[in-house]
Amino acid sequence: MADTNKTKSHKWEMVIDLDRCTGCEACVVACHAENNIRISGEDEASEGRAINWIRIERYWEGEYPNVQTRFMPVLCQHCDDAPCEPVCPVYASYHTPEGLNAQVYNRCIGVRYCGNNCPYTARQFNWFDPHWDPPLEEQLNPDVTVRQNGIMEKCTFCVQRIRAGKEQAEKEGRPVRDGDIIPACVQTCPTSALVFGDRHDPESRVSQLARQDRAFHLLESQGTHPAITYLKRIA
Amino acid sequence: MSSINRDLLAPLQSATPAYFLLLIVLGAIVALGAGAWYYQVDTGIGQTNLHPPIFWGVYIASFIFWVGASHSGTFISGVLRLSKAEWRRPVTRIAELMTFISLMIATLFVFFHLGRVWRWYYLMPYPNQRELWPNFRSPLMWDAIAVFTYATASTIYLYLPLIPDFALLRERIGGWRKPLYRVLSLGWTGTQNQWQVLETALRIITPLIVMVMVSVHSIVGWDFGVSLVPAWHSTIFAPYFVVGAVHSGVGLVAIGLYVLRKIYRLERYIESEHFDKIGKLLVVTTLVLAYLYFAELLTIWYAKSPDHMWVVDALLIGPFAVPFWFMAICIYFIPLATLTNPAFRRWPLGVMLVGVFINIGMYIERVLILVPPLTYPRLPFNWGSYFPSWVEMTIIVGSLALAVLLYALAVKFVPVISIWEEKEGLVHGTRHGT
Amino acid sequence: MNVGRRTLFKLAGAATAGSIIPGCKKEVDRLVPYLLPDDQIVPGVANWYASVCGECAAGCGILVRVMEGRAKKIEGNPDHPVNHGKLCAKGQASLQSLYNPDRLRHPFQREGPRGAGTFVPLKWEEGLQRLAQVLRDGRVPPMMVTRPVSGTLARLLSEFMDSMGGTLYFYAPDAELPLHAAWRESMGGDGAPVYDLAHADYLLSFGAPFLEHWLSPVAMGIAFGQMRQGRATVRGRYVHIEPRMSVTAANADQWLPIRPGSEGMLALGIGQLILDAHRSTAHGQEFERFHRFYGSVRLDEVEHVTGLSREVIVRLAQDFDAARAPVAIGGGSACSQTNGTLSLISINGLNALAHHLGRAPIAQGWCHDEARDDRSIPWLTEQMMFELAEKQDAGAGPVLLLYGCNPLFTMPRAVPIKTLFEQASFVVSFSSFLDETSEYADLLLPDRDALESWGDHVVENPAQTMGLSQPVVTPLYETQQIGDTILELSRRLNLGHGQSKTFYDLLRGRWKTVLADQPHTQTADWFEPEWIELLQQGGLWREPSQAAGPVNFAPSRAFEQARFVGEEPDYPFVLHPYASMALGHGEGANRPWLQELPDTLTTVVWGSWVEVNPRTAKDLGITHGDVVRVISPFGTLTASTVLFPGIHPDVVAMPLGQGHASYGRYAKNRGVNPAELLAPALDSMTGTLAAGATRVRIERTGEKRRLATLERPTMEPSDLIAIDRR
Ligand SMILES: Nc1nc2c(c(=O)[nH]1)N[C@H]1C(S)=C(S)[C@@H](COP(=O)(O)OP(=O)(O)OC[C@H]3O[C@@H](n4cnc5c(=O)[nH]c(N)nc54)[C@H](O)[C@@H]3O)O[C@H]1N2
Ligand SMILES: Nc1nc2c(c(=O)[nH]1)N[C@H]1C(S)=C(S)[C@@H](COP(=O)(O)OP(=O)(O)OC[C@H]3O[C@@H](n4cnc5c(=O)[nH]c(N)nc54)[C@H](O)[C@@H]3O)O[C@H]1N2
Ligand code: SF4
Ligand code: SF4
Ligand code: SF4
Ligand code: SF4
Ligand code: SF4
Repeated sequence: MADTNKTKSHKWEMVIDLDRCTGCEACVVACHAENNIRISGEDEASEGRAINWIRIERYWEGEYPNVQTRFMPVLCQHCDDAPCEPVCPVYASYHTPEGLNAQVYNRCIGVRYCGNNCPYTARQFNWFDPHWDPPLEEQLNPDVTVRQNGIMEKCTFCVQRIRAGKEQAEKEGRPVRDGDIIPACVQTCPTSALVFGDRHDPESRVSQLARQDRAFHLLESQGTHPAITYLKRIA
Repeated sequence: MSSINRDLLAPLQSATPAYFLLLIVLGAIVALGAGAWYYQVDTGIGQTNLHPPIFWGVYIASFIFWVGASHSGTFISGVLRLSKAEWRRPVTRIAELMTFISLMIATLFVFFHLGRVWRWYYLMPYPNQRELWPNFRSPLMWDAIAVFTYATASTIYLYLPLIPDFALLRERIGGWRKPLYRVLSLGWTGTQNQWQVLETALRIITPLIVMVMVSVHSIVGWDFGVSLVPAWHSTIFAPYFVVGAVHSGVGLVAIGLYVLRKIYRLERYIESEHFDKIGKLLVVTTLVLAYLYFAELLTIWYAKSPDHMWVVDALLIGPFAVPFWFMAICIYFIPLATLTNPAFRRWPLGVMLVGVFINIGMYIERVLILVPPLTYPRLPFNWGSYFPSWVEMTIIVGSLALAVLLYALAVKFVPVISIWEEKEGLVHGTRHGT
Repeated sequence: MNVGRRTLFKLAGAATAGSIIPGCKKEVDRLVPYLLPDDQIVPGVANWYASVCGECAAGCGILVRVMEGRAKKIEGNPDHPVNHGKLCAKGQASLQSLYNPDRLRHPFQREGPRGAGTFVPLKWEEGLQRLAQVLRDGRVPPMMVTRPVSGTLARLLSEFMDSMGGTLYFYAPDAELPLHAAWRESMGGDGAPVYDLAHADYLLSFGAPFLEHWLSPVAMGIAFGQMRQGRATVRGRYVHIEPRMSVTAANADQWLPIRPGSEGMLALGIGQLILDAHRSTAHGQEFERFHRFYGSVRLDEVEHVTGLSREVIVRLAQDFDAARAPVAIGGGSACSQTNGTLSLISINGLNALAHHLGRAPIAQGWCHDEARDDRSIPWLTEQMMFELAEKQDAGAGPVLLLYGCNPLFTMPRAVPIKTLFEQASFVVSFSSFLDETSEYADLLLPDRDALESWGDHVVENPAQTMGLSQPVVTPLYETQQIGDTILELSRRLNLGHGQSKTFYDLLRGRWKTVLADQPHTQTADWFEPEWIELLQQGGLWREPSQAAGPVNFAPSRAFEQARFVGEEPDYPFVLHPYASMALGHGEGANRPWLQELPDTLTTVVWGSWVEVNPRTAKDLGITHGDVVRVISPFGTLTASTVLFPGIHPDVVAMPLGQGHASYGRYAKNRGVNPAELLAPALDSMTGTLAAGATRVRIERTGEKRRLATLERPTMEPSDLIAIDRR
């Protein structure tokens, strides 16, 4: 397929403003709806196997009455130096030229090394075949593969939307504009705590926000160079 | 000489009802394990108790254990052959068989572990339309290659010294086995030339297999060492895995020696002297292993880097303390308390029991190396817990039964003591008592 | 191939919905994604339909992505003035209402005794016939209870009930009637409260769960993001006062635990301190009422009742007073007390006071320009239940028509709601699901899902929004929109709604009248293109107008202390039931996505629990996961304990939403319903339930049950022997 965007490469990144995130979890459901994430059910959930590509980690600080909570949305950080990639024996965990950590479901044989080596516990595994009570399966997004038992999965930055956005731009014979491509979680986030875009475009919202003083990376010391920049919560 | 033939061929020539009963019992357990595996493949790898962040559990621990166990043969026979230790003669075959069988069992665990085992061949480099090869940067590929090399090498290593014995069996044993022995003996007639070729081949392969042995468990250790998981990421893992493997391997040889000697009345060949030597070896491995363990814990404890300390605390005083200290007793305290006493070392039953403790302890050790670090990932929100499911345990017990079963069958097929090497020892005249 | 499918769908739509479906917003070609592009990807075509989210009263605008006749994803409508393209978790999950496997697929009638839950299928014709007959034969006027609806449906329902001499009631467990009652007295005017948080620089919330499910949570969330980080130099400060730290409270810069029911008292103290600070200027007639109301309290009494220290109260007053654009909001737990309305008057009055002292008006009242038919419809309060139960005789009660609510689940057992059902001569439910209330019906005439229905939704906000909803998929089952059912009944009873054949005609007719007043082209067929455009847009709204300040502060009564049911020595804790963020008061419990959505603070999924302060738990000798009995004077429930650092030690909290005995496979027999514990305590002014006024005690059962949580519980030595952890 001819790629008019070849002249200008993209680097997809996200900014998460912890001062905005309210823990409302709209992003979590949006991601399930967009990406055909299985319904695990109570039994699997109680075994810690419920699948969430994005989760809101909640940390308590202090003791009553001076308690504080911190919410931290955690999804795959699409690390530039992703520890999950070299360890995969079959190239199922793969880095795209646009900076995505892609998971090639067809390749994955389920050795789960990548899951161990992801410092963010971002990777989720299909321990059984998925099931939807009919007619719930009518909702499944035809743009996204349903994953079989034995396969690793995780946030894809909604790669299907990235492709759709690029193809739309190509069809209209123009470059991809900031805001054309919006992952499901970003789209629904009421407080706009999540912002997505192209870091190769210095004027994009995501680039501007990532330059803020409040910016930091999760587990920076691990040298993974995440594509997600967090903005500190104030106070 | 004829008594050697008589004694050592005896196990191949008859079988007691107890033997058949043993086969049936072992076969039944193996069938249970196979059933559990079928169930797991049919319904999903979720039949394990694994869940994020603990993606690896007892299957991988068992893999490490069995690869470790395989070091018995190589180490004992290889190192002893290299050092021309005469006392090796009755021990090598027993140990090499263990290597061979352990490696087969270890390989099985790779398949038990895979989420989509029906796609296992993606691990193989084969020409395909997608032009995709396996990822040789992955330590798991290093593993696959190392284990494959090791399995090939140790098969050859087991086979070479078997050739003269196969020739003997070809002559002595009739029935359905005869044509098999004929093929396997490769036309061995015992000419001077053949003996020279065999000696040369053994001289070449022995140092090689010792090197492969060291590299194999180093690579298994690097599966963990090169990762980013707190308390796995450590330079000590490779030497530590090798020494641990030898520790459990030698322990396993002690068990094998004792059991075979007892059943087949081989007291004339396997003497308390052998147990004394094995005991001394175990004292050395205990000390080296303890040293490495101490070095590792000390460095973590002193640095007090929180990610790593969570794990160490969990081991020493936390939820894993009971298995940890039980393990320490099994693999350090018991061997040191007993085997440093020369009189104890000459007590075969005692040395065998120490071998049992060491192997129980080393199995726990493999699990503890694996699970606690995975339990405490870097974002504490995701800390987890794990205990194997009945499917996992059934498969583990089934594969242990399979190992014993294979050994029991092997005993009916090859002499457990190398007949020609035993005779060679007699000729060299260095064996006492004959 | 695709075109063929779509045409088929459109024709099917025409046959059933009575019209082709316009409002295809934009056509986007989407390609089947493989990670690495293949040259032969087959394009599928997505259509986007604008509609209104039917999951709560906020009325957010949605766009539904439809492919080959199936709704695939719900997204926010970026042009909609309520939600600007954003949605909450419930809105995102609303597809699971449409595709819920437990939907009622055709009419049913009861077989066996009432309430036994056994039904046999029925044809629509028979069902309508039967209901018409029953209504004709009714000796007393019928009674209809629905969730609050607006627009065309509200008018239709109320006219229908009027023409039969019956009454239409609204009922919603989260209606917060005290909020609206208090608004009139503390801010004046008849508008609905709208809080312009985006422009606030100091937010004082007394229990209002505005980021979870209060008023318009998505709109509030958007504004909150703006308040925090939307302005270059100002970051709005936020203090939350509530006995328990809710998800909303967790976002505050400071959470102040307060004794239940004393929120209004604190506001009184703050008001008084502010008035004191402005003693030199704040006098004259306009301040007179403030002095009278806020001056009625002594500060040491405030300290004593609220449990907050004087420094804290003084600082709150100073900060509120020092802000340029302060706002005080009250709701949620502050409102579910016997003094709920009075507390809210006291809280809201702070805004009126601030406005009089020259602060920017952040709290505003909005009234829709159009005549709102729903304004005059009475609410079914718990107090009314007592009155009705007294009046009626067994079996001679009215025909009861129920729609969109589940009072048998949401009202406490101690309220005689069951009596109403037992006395009713006939019960008909239009619900889409067999919930606890529908199970008590004689006849089930299931409504369509919101995504299969026509409708409009009036929102009282600065943009004067009227949302339009349209069917986005061909109806899945033999269901009928309640509007059509009512029109059909009306025809059969000759009640005079004959001019509109379908609800769709009625809707169009009403919108034609509305639009006739607007500027439009004067051609004869001006309406059709406008109508299509509105359907594509998702409704009608205007440029937001400028807010007006409060009209008048006119409290009719002095403040009162909250009362609690249950003697303190026997029942040492106040029960704090709260609506679950995902499951609400139980309506979300049949959506598996919402069941599996971790409660943000406890991370529990698929279950119920009791939150206890770790200190209290220590005193009681219980720990995380212990199953305890929660005992009130009205009932007993058992649930697992969650040690919750953010709760007053004298309070225990339980989420609402679980404990269904019915309502489909995902909801049924899961967890417990705290409503069963509640005393029939009522708000003194509105007569609505004071859900936070029941005292309880906690007893250990000795059992331990681990809850399913996203945050994995830390490994314990017992895990090494517990083989099966389920
Ligand atoms: N772009 C593109 N074009 C292709 C192909 C491709 O890969 N890409 N593949 C080609 C190939 S291999 C094929 S076979 C053709 C297939 O081309 P079509 O035969 O057009 O295939 P379908 O899309 O399956 O359409 C069949 C129609 O039958 C309807 N239908 C389903 N069940 C029944 C039934 O029981 N009775 C009746 N009367 N109708 C029914 C469906 O709703 C649908 O409208 O397409 C060819 N064209
Ligand atoms: N969900 C769904 N499934 C369907 C159908 C459907 O409508 N919906 N339709 C069914 C029908 S009717 C059919 S016919 C099948 C089609 O199923 P497939 O036969 O799997 O169809 P394709 O994906 O079109 O083509 C197969 C492969 O052939 C490769 N290819 C193309 N040209 C050549 C060539 O010259 N030489 C070689 N060696 N390879 C080439 C392509 O790259 C592609 O990888 O799918 C069936 N399955
Ligand atoms: S966050 Fe984890 S899964 Fe994602 S790229 Fe980084 S290491 Fe890989
Ligand atoms: S689980 Fe899949 S992606 Fe992960 S390492 Fe194994 S094969 Fe690769
Ligand atoms: S970017 Fe897409 S895949 Fe990733 S968490 Fe958000 S919605 Fe899920
Ligand atoms: S939707 Fe936005 S505000 Fe809500 S939890 Fe997700 S990131 Fe936070
Ligand atoms: S707030 Fe949520 S549930 Fe309510 S209308 Fe908006 S999206 Fe729907």
